[in-house]
Amino acid sequence: MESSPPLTAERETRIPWEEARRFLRECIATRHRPRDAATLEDLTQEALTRLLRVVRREDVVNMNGLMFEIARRTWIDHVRREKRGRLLLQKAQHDLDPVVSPPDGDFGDPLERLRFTTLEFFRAHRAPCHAIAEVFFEGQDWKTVAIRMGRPYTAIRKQWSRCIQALRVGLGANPSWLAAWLGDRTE
Amino acid sequence: MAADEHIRFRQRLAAYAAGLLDEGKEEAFLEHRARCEDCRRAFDDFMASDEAAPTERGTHIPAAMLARWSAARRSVRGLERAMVREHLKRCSDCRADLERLGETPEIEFVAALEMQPAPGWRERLFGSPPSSGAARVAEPVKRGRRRQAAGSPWVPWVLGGWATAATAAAVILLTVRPVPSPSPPAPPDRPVATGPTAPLTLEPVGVHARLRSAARGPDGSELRLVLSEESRYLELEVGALDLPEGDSLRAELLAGGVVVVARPLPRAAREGVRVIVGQPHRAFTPGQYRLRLIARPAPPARADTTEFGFRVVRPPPGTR
Repeated sequence: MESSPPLTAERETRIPWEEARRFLRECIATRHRPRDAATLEDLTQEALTRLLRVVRREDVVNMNGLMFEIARRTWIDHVRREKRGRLLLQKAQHDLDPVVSPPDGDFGDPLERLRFTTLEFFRAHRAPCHAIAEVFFEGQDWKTVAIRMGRPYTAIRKQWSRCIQALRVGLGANPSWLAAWLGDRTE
Repeated sequence: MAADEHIRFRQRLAAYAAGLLDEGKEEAFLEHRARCEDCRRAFDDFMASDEAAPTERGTHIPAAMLARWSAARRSVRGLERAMVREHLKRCSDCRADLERLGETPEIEFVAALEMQPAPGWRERLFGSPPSSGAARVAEPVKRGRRRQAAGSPWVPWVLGGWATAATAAAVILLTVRPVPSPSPPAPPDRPVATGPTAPLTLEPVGVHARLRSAARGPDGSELRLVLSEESRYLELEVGALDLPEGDSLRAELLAGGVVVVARPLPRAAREGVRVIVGQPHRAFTPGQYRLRLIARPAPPARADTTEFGFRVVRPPPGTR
């Protein structure tokens, strides 16, 4: 695909999506070699979703470069998911069971799903926790979060503890992989 | 070092990464990491790749879930399912992504996959009634009186509306009758099932696409009406609703965020009824409107509302 002039979100419909899909599929298939056709199709669709999101919010100058990078990152995410799965789902040395319950289906990095559910839970309740979670999920440590929010560190941590408690209560009656991933299975 | 400690450390890896350990547990977690080389290696493996491929930090439905939507919508469960549904209701980007991928931007209500809350969980969580609808998604519908809440008397109960809608399918049949003369008669007491119907387009709010079928749109509690001709009133057919005894029901039509007409619906609406919504002395001009169906608990119950999801069907041939 040729490089495109700057594209805005409004021009989303001008992108030849079928061509983009073929390009992404080709990138993933030849450079990263997924283990089977189903994985390739899933990753292609995932990369296409990411492309959609980027195109909608940013101007794109080099379409080929963008798709190449998205294909690469999609592959990295896939590898990361598998690595995290191995770390958490394999049988631990001293235990017969997996360390945690497996997530419901392979629908993305479980950590990302945990973050999404947490953010959405707090947003839906309009709790002040949502603002804290957003800043923390940007990759900040708690001290930075406290500075960004202009509040004492101890106050932020105390409030966040209450937020976590609220989330646990919300999950309490719903034993699922999310509850297990909060880390209280053996307690 | 006890084996349990290593297992617990691994169990808490994800919670730590998501910031969901409280201070005491986090301290114990970090202490163990400092002492145990194997666990430190596992920690580094778990955390490292975030820097190479940053994700969206939970602000949207994960792309991988959208990419596998047909499977995800049938198997995601519990709180995660409720939150995906809630997100889809308000995020036009995620809905557009799904439509672009050829998927339907909805997640059905499947009883076996929905949250099953413990009684009174909301009180334990908040100590008071919620300020928004999402808290109610997990709470069984209570009949009878509800507690008084502060704030706006008409707080939309969007997510609760969805949950309720799944068990109380309200069907609204819309027909638009054009103005027949400069001094038209008042709307009839009973709907007339004959006569011309103005061209009408129905769109779910927030999605710039026409409903493809009679199925409920992504936003079940509001619909956008596009009137292409001047019309005096709408005829609504409301299906059976699961309303608590004493609750009132009303329909609102909004233009540009302003309610242009609102009328209570008769008590019989809970069993299904046809009503007329309109303005006897002024016609609706062509343009876009939004239609809302709102249930309000009877006083002195709390003054928030339930917005029921509904679907729109075109009048069957021969009834126009």
